[in-house]
Amino acid sequence: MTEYKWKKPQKRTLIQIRKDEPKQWLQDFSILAFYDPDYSPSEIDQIKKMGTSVQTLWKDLPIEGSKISFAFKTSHDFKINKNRSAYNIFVNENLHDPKFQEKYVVFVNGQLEDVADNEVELVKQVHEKYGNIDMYVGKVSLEKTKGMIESPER
Amino acid sequence: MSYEIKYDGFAEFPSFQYVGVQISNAQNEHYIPQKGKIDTGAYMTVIPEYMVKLLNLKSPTIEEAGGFDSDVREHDAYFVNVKIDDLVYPYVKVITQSDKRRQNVLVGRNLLNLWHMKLNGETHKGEFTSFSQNPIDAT
Repeated sequence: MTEYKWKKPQKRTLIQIRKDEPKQWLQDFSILAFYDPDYSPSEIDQIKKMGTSVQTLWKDLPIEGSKISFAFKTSHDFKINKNRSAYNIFVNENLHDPKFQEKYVVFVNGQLEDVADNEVELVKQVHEKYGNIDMYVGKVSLEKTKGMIESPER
Repeated sequence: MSYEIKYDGFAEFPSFQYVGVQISNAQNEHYIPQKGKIDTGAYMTVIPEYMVKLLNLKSPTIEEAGGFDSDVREHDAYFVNVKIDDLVYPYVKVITQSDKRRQNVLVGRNLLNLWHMKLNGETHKGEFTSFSQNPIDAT
């Protein structure tokens, strides 16, 4: 098992990468391997370099069982990605649990806040409880849906 | 009650059909007016990116969508209120398009499927009625 440690571990989230995880991880990772705005400019420069090196390292990682730490691009990205990462982990662990299958889940501060059949209800509930805060809502489903915006425009 | 659908033959030719829409953060009443282009090719309503900052929208989720050239990618999704005259659709899911040239709104099928719509290309007049204001009913 390989573990890559950065300078300020308290600001970073450790993710465990498993072979069976969805492709989503790769997308998350490419977005997240940057920096947190709380760092000083010199630290940001340093971490940018580390981000580059980590992205390079990613290609060489023995994926199964590897651990990697990462930082975030902006504070909003940090929050939404913290929730999204928590969602991804949750989906991986509960994809086949009938209690959650085909349900929507909402994450706030990296924690599961609620489960429902309807994503709008979840967003409304969080807004009523906490106001306009960062959250991530997603479906626990084996099928991934995609839409089309097909009309060409001048 | 019926609402007017207009034709714009100046911005584009042949003309396109649109309604006057107002978009707000689902949590307040600060509305931004814009043309809402009727787009049955859009599965979801699209708002221009400049509205995200102006309305202080925070994206709670991601949508994967393809364009007319089938290039599929992730888009930030938001929940907004859409107002057309006195008709308010609360918590409508919308996505943004990264193309900064977009100024108007694309009214997609998550709203259009709530409407009975009549279009007359000869007279350039149209109208719609809405059988529901709940986006969940747009099947």
